[in-house]
Amino acid sequence: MSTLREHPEEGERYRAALDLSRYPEDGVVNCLVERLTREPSRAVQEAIISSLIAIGTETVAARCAELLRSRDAYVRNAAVEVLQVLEDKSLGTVRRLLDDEDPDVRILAVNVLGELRCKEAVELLRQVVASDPEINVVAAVEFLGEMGLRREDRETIRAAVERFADPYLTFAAETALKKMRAT
Amino acid sequence: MRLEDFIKLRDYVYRKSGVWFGEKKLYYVEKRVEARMRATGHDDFRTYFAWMRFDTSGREFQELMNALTVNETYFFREYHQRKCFAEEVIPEISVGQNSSAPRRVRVWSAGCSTGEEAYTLAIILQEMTAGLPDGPVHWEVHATDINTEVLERAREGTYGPREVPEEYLNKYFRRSGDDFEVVPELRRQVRFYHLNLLDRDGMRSMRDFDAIFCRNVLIYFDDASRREAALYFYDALRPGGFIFLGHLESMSRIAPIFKLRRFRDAIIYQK
Repeated sequence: MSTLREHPEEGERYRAALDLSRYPEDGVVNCLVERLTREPSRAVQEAIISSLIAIGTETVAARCAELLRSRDAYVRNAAVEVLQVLEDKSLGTVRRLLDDEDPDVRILAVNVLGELRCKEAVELLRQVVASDPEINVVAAVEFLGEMGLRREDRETIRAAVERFADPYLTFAAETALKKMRAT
Repeated sequence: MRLEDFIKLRDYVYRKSGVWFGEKKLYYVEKRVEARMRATGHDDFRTYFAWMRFDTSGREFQELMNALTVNETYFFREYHQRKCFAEEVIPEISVGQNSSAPRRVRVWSAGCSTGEEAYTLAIILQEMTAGLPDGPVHWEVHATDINTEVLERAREGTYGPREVPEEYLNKYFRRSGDDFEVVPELRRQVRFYHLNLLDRDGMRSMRDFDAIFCRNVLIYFDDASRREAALYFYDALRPGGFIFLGHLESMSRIAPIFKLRRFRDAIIYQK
């Protein structure tokens, strides 16, 4: 961990970051996450992300959830990617994020849900489309177009279009509904 | 296959793998998807897609990708990329070296299969480095694969007459019964060995390469593994080294640490 934090050579920090994937302890996760936000080398940051994914614990999910509030877009997107790959390990964390008062955090949580492969993700997306007060439901509509299979999903999308008089949402909903038509 | 179904599948495949199919490929995709539907017992696209989409093992997605991106390997495949390597990348790699030390070019064919790509690279290197004005360039090709059977075939270096490019036939091959065998002088400079691209220790031993060719291999990996392999490749390259992917692949979507270099004949990623 000290090599990752302190070594002056990028190559050494890079390899240290990859090596830490073998140690799934919370202290290592905290070190990786903390370094992700400060590391000047993009390559080392990518190595850190790879290790967080490999460790893949609920602590990783919880720490990445905190990173969704970062001012750094790269860090936010990295956190989304890690949460997406963690699949069901991140579901509990993401469920809580859908109630966050910050709409930007809710948008990112929806982006995570849209990549998950569990059926519960579809149910949560449906709830977002049905009840979220912000236009960020648009993102959920797109994912529901791919993942939604039930008539209720189509009805939920149509109801969202009526709730918001927004041309982009209408367009996104039409695309989603086309994808959902039964074949 | 309805256009809406094609778009739904196409968008999903692109998001997961970076492989893009234009609408002209609808028939191509349709045939392969229908084959997967038959193989998995699904009567309609909707249920097949849902089943594949929510499959937590990821196996069916991989099978689908295998079907959609059937790969043939043959000599001098993807001509424009080879041309770029020969006429633009090799000169840049050779010229950039410290002039006081012997010049050396190291190339890696990752996922070399039966060896056609590795021997193609060897021919190109031999052709392009012979007779250079600033003195000789020592080159070597390392070719790895996870499949030991194809490696055996690659080491033999024997190919059917229709597989071998005519302009190099007399120079780099000799007849072996009905087939043609790569000449020993060329084979000696190509090393074939077993390597799993996700084996940390094995990948760490790959160092100081000027160019890596890993075409149509990473698309078969899941997201996490693809990123891991890309990071190993990054570490294996010298600063300024190049990585060549398949023409449908994008490294930017895997790990945004390589820069895009636009050459006359191709766009390549560089460390």
